Amino acid sequence: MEDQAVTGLNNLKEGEESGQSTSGPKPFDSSLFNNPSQDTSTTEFLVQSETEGVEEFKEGEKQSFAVDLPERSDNLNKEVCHDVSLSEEIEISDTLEAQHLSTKSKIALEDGQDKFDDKEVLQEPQSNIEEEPQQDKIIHSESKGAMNEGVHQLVTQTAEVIGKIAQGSLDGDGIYENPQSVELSKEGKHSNVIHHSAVTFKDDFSWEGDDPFLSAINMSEADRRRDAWLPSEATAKVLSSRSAIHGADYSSRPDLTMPGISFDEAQTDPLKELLIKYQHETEASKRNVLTLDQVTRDVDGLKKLVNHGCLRSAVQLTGLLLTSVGQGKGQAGMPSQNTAESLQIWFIRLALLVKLRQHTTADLESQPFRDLDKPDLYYQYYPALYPGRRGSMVPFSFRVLVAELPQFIGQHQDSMTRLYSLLTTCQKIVTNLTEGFDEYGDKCGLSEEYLNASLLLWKHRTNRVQYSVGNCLLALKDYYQSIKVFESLACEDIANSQRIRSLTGRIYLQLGDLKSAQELFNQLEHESRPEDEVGRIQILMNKGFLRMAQNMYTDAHIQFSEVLKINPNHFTAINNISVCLLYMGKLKSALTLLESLVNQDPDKYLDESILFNLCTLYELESSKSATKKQNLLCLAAKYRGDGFNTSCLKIS
Amino acid sequence: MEAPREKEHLLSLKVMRLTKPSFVLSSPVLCEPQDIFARNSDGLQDLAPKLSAVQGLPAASLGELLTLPQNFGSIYLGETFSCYVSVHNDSSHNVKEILIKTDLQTSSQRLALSGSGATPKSELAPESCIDEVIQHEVKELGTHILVCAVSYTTPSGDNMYFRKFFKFQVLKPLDVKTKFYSTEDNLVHSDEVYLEAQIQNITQSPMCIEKVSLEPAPEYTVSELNQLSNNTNCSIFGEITYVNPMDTRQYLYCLKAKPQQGSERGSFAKGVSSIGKLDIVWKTNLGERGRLQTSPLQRVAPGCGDIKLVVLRIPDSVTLQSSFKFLCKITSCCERTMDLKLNLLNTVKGLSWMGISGKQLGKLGPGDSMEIELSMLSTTPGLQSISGMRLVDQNLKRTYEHDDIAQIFVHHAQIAA
Repeated sequence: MEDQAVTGLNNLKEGEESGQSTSGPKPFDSSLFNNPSQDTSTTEFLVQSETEGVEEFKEGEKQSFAVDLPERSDNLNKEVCHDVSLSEEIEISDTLEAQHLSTKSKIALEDGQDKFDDKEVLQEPQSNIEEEPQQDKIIHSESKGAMNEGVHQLVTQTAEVIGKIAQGSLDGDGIYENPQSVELSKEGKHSNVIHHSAVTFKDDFSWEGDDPFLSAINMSEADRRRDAWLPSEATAKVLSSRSAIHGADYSSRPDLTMPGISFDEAQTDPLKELLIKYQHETEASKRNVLTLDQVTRDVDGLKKLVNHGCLRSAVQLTGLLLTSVGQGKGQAGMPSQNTAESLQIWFIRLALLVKLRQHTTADLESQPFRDLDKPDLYYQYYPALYPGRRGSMVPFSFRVLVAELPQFIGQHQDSMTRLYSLLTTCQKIVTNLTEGFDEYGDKCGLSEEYLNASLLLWKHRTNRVQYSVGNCLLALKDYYQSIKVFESLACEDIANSQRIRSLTGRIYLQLGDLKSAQELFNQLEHESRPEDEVGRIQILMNKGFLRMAQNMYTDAHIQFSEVLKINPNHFTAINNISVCLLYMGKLKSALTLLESLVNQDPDKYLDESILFNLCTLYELESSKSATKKQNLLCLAAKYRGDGFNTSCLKIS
Repeated sequence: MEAPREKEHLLSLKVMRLTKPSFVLSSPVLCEPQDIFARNSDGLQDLAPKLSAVQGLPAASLGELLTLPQNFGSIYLGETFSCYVSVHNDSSHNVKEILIKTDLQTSSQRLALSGSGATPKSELAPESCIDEVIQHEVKELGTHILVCAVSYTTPSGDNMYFRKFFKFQVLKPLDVKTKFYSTEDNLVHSDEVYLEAQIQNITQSPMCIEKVSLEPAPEYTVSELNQLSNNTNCSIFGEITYVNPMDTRQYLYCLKAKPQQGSERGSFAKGVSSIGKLDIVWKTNLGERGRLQTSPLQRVAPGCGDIKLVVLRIPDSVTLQSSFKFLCKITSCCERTMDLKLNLLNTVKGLSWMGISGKQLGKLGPGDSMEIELSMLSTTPGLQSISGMRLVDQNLKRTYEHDDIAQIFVHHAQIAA
């Protein structure tokens, strides 16, 4: 192991003892740069440069289906539309009439033998499906099955209005969340079986003061600015043509976003696996980690799993939730109904996959969304369901995530293109708002208050995309452009100016430009105010980093230690002190420091970066590193969920 | 995990190369307060926050947490090889007379890095260790072997000894190309020479080149031409302070010969001479420093042949389809008298000669020179090169070809207006 490994116990290659010195090549001339001629001369060496390992990424296989679905014309019962719009009206009138009233609209998807939990079913829509004759019988039946699903999601919608006392249905802190949950009545079964499922929407209101009407208006305004998005020209065209057709809900495939999950299997818990591998059966059986079966199969359960760090189970739960809305495994490319809720679930799913570093899967599953601009992702596409509502159902965070995805599989330029496209739209909206129009550049009588709030939101979003651009450039090692982006952000995001400029300084250090870093850090120190504690810590940290870059580890140690005098729990400073100690030749002190940090509050400090450092130190310390690392493994198993990245423990 | 031979020993030896630490990079995934996943209602939050995230700056990927080097990495000529050597007492006994010796075996020599002639440490208790940080500036390319030898005495009085070898390759960081340019006004005895040095980063990371200076040989003085003005410290390379992998930077130096005794002007030696050497200092990842000095740069004084042709006067630009004149000076550099005839050939498109080809220029003695004025007509826009001049020495029937004598920019009339 030691002979071939660069990794392993030592990061040095360990060689064979057999004589290399005698039979080695002739000594190199120390006159390395010989340029005797008038013309351009190249210095020549016999140096084999190691080419950097280029990771190969498999292009996500495009899902192809033998069955092409026939064009459908679904005639939605007009009364449904009426009912839905009525329900909206009722919301407002209800809130007008009763103060503590919240509206809950429920759309249930059921097959023939529905059992509705709620009694006040106003209307059940009918669906008429027309199929084109199929030549092949097998294909025919398959397509029928697949279509039935789609149709069911699209058409079988029941709107229901329930009045409830507000306190009863408000969640904890009473913060408005819309739409709040997606619930499953039953788990989705096989793809040919029509799902028994119910998707529940809950609109909870929170209001300040006693005017529910006002709060309802505010809320819809908050929705309005949050959902605002400028569709592409082609999409806008489709959307405007749809608003003319009142009520009809037929879909043409090019308009549809048809995502589907690529796997629904449970992922194994890596901590448990390692415990079993290293024969800690008792620990393994004791491992008490939240699993899918212990939570409700809805957004609340999902939240619980994520909060407990059980990211893998959470991914599986998103799979179940998406399967229930017809976006399960193998269903990519088949029509299904996208809703604000399903898109939120998608956002979380892809986010979790990124967190779990399953980038190829995330990229594959994100393909059907493309640039998130298909007409069916806009509320205007469903004039019957969302009368008068405008904007995109896609969470802004999801847009950012999808734009960032390609860089994780090495396609940074794709990410840059997507991010800049986001940036352009954000900037357009900001311009519209600055000029006194609404987000879309239309003149409408919106209050100053609204416009200001919207402007603030969109400026924040613009900044956020710029952070992503800066990060992507940094990953590309385009330091210059990255620094430019963060410099401009420091001017935009005044509140964080010091932090952002310190970040710029760290980029300078990382690339080796100590001079620019020093100038910047000095400038920051000059501007800082002594009463600002956070600022003082930042200055000390900056100094510490600079000293490290100058090989002055003892000085760096002093700077980081000063931080602890202000904030004894500054774990970043503690970790950095430990790093300094190693470079100062004090391995034992470095180890003790990090060990005590982790043991002092394992729940907090069992962090992958810190554990990586700790395990590196263990490896250097003694031959018993394996045991010590396994102790950490047991500790991690006690406190961490299945999303824990075990690679930091360096147990292979 | 361990090699069997080590089991027999009470001490274990661990070595780790100390490349610079780096900042942890995270990939933040943020939620807005309205997203169903938000934990609370203010600001952006990460879906699964890590400690490496910057406090107050959740959207930034580059954190403040330092991480130790993950692998050996690459080491380049001129950098400092730094490594941590730790000898740990794995046994439950006190071990005595411990001596650690580290050497570096290169392809040409063996360098003692530490421990030679040192007095052994008298005792090492169980679970304690002896640590050393070794530093060595790498001055050779190719295979290096770090040899770590440990000797000690067991409680039973046996003298024990073991060695470990760590092999690594030293790579070339820079590619340096040099080019000399002589001034044209003083042909035979030039006292100014320009040196262009092209420095290419052939490592795999961006490199911040801090210094490239020319240390001239004693008979020359040098002025660097890499600042925008002599007063300011403004580099000609602008704001970008680093060189990306495979990118090249050009540095220019003007060398003047120092006046020699008995003459007012100095002169550059004919034939091959050493001009000086380049000193290059760079930094990479978190201040990892490297320094290289080239071997003396050799200049071969240009031989000027029998005839030297210099253009004394020529317009920079000329409008299309108009004629222009330029003045040349022909100098004889040979020891005989030549009888010259001028032939003009239209070898390239764009410019046509005007006047007579085959004109007799007359005799030119050794060291003599003559000036001639020639006319051309421009026929194609763009940067055109003057070529096709042939000087024939009728005594020896030898033809001297002069192509690409000068360039001229040909443009449409309206650009000038």
